Amino acid sequence: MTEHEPEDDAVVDGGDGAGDPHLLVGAYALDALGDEERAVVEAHLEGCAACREELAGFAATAAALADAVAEPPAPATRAAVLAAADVTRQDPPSLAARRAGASGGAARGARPVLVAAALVLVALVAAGATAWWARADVDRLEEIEQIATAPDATTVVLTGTGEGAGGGSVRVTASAALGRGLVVADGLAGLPEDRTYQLWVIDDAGPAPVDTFRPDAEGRAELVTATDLTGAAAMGLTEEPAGGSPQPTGDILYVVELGA
Amino acid sequence: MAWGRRAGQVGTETEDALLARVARGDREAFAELYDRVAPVVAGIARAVVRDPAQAEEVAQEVLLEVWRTAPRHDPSRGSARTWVATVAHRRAVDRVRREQAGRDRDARVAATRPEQAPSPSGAVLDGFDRERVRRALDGLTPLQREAVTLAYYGGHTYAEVARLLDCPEGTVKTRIRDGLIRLRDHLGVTA
Repeated sequence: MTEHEPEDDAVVDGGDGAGDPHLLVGAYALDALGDEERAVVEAHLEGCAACREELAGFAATAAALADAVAEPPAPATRAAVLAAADVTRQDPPSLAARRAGASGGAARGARPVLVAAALVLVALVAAGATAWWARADVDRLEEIEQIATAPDATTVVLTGTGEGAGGGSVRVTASAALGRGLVVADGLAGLPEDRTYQLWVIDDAGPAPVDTFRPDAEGRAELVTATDLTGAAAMGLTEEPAGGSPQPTGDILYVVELGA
Repeated sequence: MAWGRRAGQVGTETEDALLARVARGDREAFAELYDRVAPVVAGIARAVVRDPAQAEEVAQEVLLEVWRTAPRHDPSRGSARTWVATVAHRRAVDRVRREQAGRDRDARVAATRPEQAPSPSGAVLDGFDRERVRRALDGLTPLQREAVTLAYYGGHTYAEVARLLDCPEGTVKTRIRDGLIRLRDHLGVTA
């Protein structure tokens, strides 16, 4: 990265124009902006990966400046803070953190979902910079967590049928109590622009459409659906024209028998 | 033993690992993390807020906020220490600006600098020792150094720094950025 390094401290007007949030990232990292410009930079960060990266480096640099003035807090502070923590409820978790250490059978089924949800969190945070550690898409994460941790949540895994490009898997965690399902696909083949994957629940009446989705560049996808698998005999995935189909037109690529 | 180690005993677990445990509601880990990061929080609060009683209040708020929001912390965004320092500085600055709204902040030109700060506590483990930071600051041009330290330790906006240094705002903005780039490269910090 090339950067402008002035040879001396000649005082010149930068002439960079107040409108360039790029140049404000340094001042932002030091909390040296007024409210208005702070908001401008936060909005800019959401769409600028280069500035997010620069901010990460500046924030770590600022932390080093903080280290340089570290000194012990008042002795009474420790007991006060720990006692306060004792009665303070933590914010809802970013799933990975809370579940990473969970063990036992109950957690096992949910874990892939939670890992996926953590990936979603990472993606959301990467996409939505700001205040900056905290402003993830909380509602969505909470919905995901609700499903994943619902007492009646069950997870099924759709496996490739050998049709199509195969590989990867599709997991569905559903809660009848919530009437919601969480679909996490991984390792799916990419699709041309005009194609989509479509989920189906299959019962005695035949297949009923659920949702369509397209995987990202890594073959991952994740969505919350209104299906809860109640009464379904099977669940399948096909490839369909963009927008989905009322009835499957493609081969079933992934399927799971539910025996309901 | 409800709260784990006492202050002064230093564990081998990294702060990032401790924060991950705190995010799962582990109070013992929080006590240990407290011992590791409280000096940074207290230090920056005192530097920015100045008034000892208020600084202590801010430090307590920040440390409790660390406990409360740890589950939301995204490790991919940066280290535990960086996150804590970020929260601490933001809260300290918020407090100062709220308190001083309407007052003349320019009277507080004498910002706390590392060379005026008390000696190291010895509790800074994962952090940078202040000698290194001071050398890095020495490597800046005078205007870069003034701009960065007035903004960070003084808690001033760059517009205020410009007034204090009698410089155009655009210059201060640029010097802050250039100064941070140079510090970052000098310290070899990784996000």
